[in-house]
Amino acid sequence: MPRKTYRQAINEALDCEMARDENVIVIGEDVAGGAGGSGEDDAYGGVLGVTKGLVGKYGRARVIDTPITESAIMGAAAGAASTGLRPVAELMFVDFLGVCFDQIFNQAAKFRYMFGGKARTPLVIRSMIGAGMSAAAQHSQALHPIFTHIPGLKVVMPSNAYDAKGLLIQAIRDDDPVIFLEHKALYDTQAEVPDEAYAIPFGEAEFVTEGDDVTIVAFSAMVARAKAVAEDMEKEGIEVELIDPRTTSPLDEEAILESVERTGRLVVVDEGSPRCGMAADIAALVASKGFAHLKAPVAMVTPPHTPVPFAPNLEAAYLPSNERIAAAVRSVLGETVPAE
Amino acid sequence: MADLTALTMPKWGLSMEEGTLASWHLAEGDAVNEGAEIADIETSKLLNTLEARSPGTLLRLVAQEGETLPCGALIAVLGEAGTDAEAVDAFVASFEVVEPDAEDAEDGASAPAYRTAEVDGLTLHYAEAGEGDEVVLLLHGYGGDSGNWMFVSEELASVHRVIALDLPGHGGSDKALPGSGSLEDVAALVQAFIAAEGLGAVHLVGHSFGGAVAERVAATGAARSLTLVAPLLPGAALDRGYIADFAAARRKRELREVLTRLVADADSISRDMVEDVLRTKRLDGVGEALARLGEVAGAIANEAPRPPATAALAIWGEADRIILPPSGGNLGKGSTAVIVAGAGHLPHLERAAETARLVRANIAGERP
Repeated sequence: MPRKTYRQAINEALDCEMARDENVIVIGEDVAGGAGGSGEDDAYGGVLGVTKGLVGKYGRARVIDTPITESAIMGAAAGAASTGLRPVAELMFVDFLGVCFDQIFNQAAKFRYMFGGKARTPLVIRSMIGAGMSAAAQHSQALHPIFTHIPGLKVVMPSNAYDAKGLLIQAIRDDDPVIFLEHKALYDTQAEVPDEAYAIPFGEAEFVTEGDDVTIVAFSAMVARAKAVAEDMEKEGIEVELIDPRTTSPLDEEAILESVERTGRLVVVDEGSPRCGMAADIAALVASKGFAHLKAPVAMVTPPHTPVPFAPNLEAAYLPSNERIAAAVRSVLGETVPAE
Repeated sequence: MADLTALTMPKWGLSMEEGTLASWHLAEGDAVNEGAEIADIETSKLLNTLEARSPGTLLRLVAQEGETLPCGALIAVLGEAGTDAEAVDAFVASFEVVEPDAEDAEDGASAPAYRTAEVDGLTLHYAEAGEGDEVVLLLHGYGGDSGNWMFVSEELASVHRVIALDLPGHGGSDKALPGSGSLEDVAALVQAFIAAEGLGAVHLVGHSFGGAVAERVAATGAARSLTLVAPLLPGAALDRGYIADFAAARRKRELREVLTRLVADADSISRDMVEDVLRTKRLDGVGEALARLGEVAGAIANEAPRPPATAALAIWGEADRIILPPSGGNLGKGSTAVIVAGAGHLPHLERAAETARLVRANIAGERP
C-alpha cells in the first residue's frame, strides 16, 4: 500500500471527486494561482500546495481563483451549492472565517431548514486550523467548537492522511454544508492511503488503540500525542482506549459512552480553547449519560484560555503536551502526580 | 566449517514485510524432523506455524519470543548435534539478511509479483509466483482476496506456477461485477481470464464462494484437478447470518466479532486483519459487489443439493461454522472430503501447512 502525505491524500480526494462528478468545483484564493497574469498557470495550488495540479486537469471554470474576499468566496459557494453544484471552497486560515459568518451560519447552514427540507446545500468549506507553527494568534486558532455549535453544519477533523482522503470524499458527496478542518501541523505526516476512492462515514469514531483501563478522546493533531502517551502507558501495563471521533458534528456519542462504560475513566484532549469547547462538551455528555460508570472525575487537557502565543517556547507550553496528557491519565487512575 | 543451516523469518505473501516470533515450539538441542513445527509466527494477518524444511538439531534460537524481525532475518540455526558453539557464534555473526525475492531470483525462480489483466472490459488483479508448465489457480472466498492464500502459495509455488486471482468486486480487481454478477457470470469471467492469459488446463483451488466458482469452471472440462476448501456447493448448510453481518459491520469491534466466526481460535484474528477488511469494505463499489454476491451465495445454498460435477478433493475445517461439511462427508461419486482438525472456515490460513500438503497431493493425483 502506498504511503502518502496528508496533503497528497486531500489532493487525491479532490481529484477523485472532480473526475467522478463534473458538478464538483474548487473555489478560493490562489487555489490554482496565476489567474489573469502572464506567469505560470498553476503557480500555487493553494497556500500549501494542496490543490496543485487540479487546474491543469479540470480547467479554470472548475478551479476558480478569487480575489481576497472571504465573504465573496463563501457567498458564491453557498449560492452555487444551492443551484446543484458541489463547491469545495478553500479558506486558508480558519481564523479568517469570522468575516463570512453570515454566509455560513445564517445562510448555508439554514437553507435546508428554512425551505422545509426541500433545499440541499452540498457545500464543503476547507480550512486550516491549529497552533505549533509559530503563526501567531491570528493564524493559529482551533475554532472547530464554533462551527460545531451551529445546527445544520457538519464538522470534520481528520487526524491522519488515510482519514483525510476518505472523510473529504464523504464530505463532497454529502448534501449538507461540511466544515473540513485540516491541521497545519499534519500536512507532511504520512499514512498508507489507497489509490482508489473510499468514503468514511461521518459520526463514526476510530478506536486508535483499545484498552480497558482509561478512555482518551482526542481530536485532530492531538490524536498523535495521545497515541504516543497510550503507547508509553502500555509499557507500564496501563491499557488506554484512544478514541478519535473524526467528526465533532455529528459526534459518535455511542462510541464514547460504550468505552467509558468499560473503563470508567475519561480524559479529553482538545486544542480548542477550554470554554464552551469539545473537552467541556464531551465531559458534559459523559457526566449526563454515563455518570454511573465513572470512577474518577473527567480530566480535560486543553490550552489555557488565552490567545495562542507567538514565542515558540510559549506556544509549546500552550498546547496540550504529552506530559500533561500522561499526568491527566494518571490522575484519573488515582495516582498522585507532582503539581504542575 | 560445520554444516549449518539458517532458519529465517519467512515471507508469506507479497505484502508481508516482517513477522513477530510469537512462541518457540522447540528448545535448543532438540532434534528436528522435516515438517516439525518449530515456531509460531505472527503476521499482520494471522498467526501461522513455521515448519522445518530439512532435518537437523536446533543449535541456537536467535530470535526472542515477542521479537519482530524483517522477512529473511535469522531466527535460529540448524545443524548437526554437538557442533562447536564458536562455529555457531561465527555463523550468527556473519549472517547477512538476504531479501527473499532476491534469493528466489538467484535460484532461477521468478520472484512473486502482482499483475493485472484486462478481461471482458474488467481489470483483474492477481499475484503470481513460481514456475512450471502446470498452473495452479487459486480463487478466494466472499469478502476475501488473493492474500488469503499467503501461507499456502509458497509451498505450491515450489513446484508449480501459482496464480492467486482477486475475484471481481474484491482486492485489487475492478469492483464492478461481470454481467448480472451471477455465479455463471463470475465463472465465465474466470474462464475468459484463463484463456486470455493462455494458462491452458489449470489446477483449480477454490475456497468457499471461490469453491463454487472453481466447481463451475471445472464443470466445463477446463481443469486438470479440482480442490475445494470449505466450498459453497449447491444446497450447502450456509450460515446466512454471517454474510449479512459481514456486509453490515462498519465498526472494528463489530467486524472483529464477525471475523472470529471464521476461525477456530478467536485470538488468531489480528487487529490489522480487521482494519484491512474494514478499509477494503470502504472502497467505492465494494459494498454493492458484496451485496450482490451475498445474494448469489444465498441462492446457491437454496438450490437442491448437488455434488461437484468434477471429482474433487474437498477440505473442511473441523470447527467450520460458516459452511458445514455434507453429513457423512458424502460428496458424490469420485470426490473425497478431508476434515482438518483445529481449523474453522479458513483451513488454508489456520492449518496452512497441512492444507498445502493436501492440495499438493491432490494436484499430483495422490488423493488421500
